[in-house]
Amino acid sequence: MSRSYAIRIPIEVLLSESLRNRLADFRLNFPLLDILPPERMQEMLKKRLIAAGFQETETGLVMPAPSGQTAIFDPATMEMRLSIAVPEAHRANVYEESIRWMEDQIKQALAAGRVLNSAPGSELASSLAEQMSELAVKARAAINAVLKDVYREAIREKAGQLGSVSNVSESSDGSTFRIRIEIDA
Amino acid sequence: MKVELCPEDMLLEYVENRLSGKFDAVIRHEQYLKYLPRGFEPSEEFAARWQTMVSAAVKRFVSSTFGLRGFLFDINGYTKRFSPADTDFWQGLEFRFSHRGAERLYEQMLRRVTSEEPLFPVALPADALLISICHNDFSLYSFPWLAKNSANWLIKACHITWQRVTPTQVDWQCFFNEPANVELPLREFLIERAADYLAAVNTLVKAQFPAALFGHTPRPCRSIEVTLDQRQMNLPHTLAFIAGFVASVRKAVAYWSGEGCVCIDDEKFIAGAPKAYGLDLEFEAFNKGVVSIVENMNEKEQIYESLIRN
Repeated sequence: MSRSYAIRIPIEVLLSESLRNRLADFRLNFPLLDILPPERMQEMLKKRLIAAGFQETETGLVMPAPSGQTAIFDPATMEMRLSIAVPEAHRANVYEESIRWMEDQIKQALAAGRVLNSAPGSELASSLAEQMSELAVKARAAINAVLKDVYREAIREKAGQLGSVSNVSESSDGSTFRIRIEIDA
Repeated sequence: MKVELCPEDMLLEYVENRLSGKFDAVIRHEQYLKYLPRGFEPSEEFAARWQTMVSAAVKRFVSSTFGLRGFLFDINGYTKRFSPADTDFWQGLEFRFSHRGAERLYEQMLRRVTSEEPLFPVALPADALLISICHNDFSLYSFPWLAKNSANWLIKACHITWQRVTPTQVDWQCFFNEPANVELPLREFLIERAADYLAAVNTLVKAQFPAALFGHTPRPCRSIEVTLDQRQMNLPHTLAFIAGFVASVRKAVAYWSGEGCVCIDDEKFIAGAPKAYGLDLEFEAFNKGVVSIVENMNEKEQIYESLIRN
């Protein structure tokens, strides 16, 4: 009966260079409407993000994320930078009679700079891409939710500058959110 | 044992092999390459042999590339069609092969012992074509380089034919972006090539998403097939790229069949080319199939696709 041994497969032969780069640095950009002066809008956004659980650091506002994942938002550029920790190697169990063949495959792939699509651990690419997609969707949802609150607050503030607000009503219809503000002339 | 090495003979043998498609052929005395001088100084006798060999080989290459495909020419204000089999096709086409081409190929021959990249840009356009053929790589010289060095239209046509593209990168799109500078023989050919490119993308889409183009069979290529360098594609990016690509083709076609006309009657050849070569049909099939897939993808799937397919 064959025994299986754990071997180390370098990450370079499991994930393409472009995928590794994008897992290390994936960026999402958000628009910020100029309802109020940009500095004021950024200040309101920052305050709301901190209230929503983001942590202020030197690099930006850090969104709470599971271990190994980072999501840092910069209100000045409105850019969210996401990254997922990629292991240096993947450990896989290979039967003893296949070890030499596997090692040759790894050597050839490393020399040619290509990815082994059918090696043990090749599912790592789709798993990490899936994690990054989830993180990106979560990050976008978090920022969009805060932006909605910021716009609501900014519109009220802007209306207050125009005159005396007599009535404010809000309604939503599917993906459209409406704020109606009445000002006494 | 003494071995007499003649760099000129070795270069001729090296180039002859490559021009006949034997890219891995070993030349005589190849093991002594390291003893050859780094610089190449051709003799007058060599220059004559070089011209004879290279001119004939390049003409052979052009003829085999385009076969009997007709190109449009302006003859006294009227549009005529000539193929490489016609004498008129070669009228006004000059291939000036210089010693620089020989020098670059000599450097390339010695590359495995010197590990130095040849000075490829130091060459004439005809040399560039020869070097690309011998190197089996048509990405060595960019289209802006060819334009800057006044390459004739046939040299550009060879590069358009043989250059590899990806689903989201077609270097010869620059001709559609600046249609005014495009010579008449290239215009219809570029439209045909654009249709070939769309057909190649559609073939790839069919392989990746078998149900996407149901009922549509991509148009078979009439000459050299467009080689897509990427076997996987990021659908949302490809969709956006192809929409822009086809828009630039249509804009160029409108210009060539309008204010950019060269002859009295070239407009009718150009205006009908997108339909005749199946560009419209391929684009319609691509758009119909791919738009629905992308629209049905949610944001997470789109991000996943963009990560995994690049």
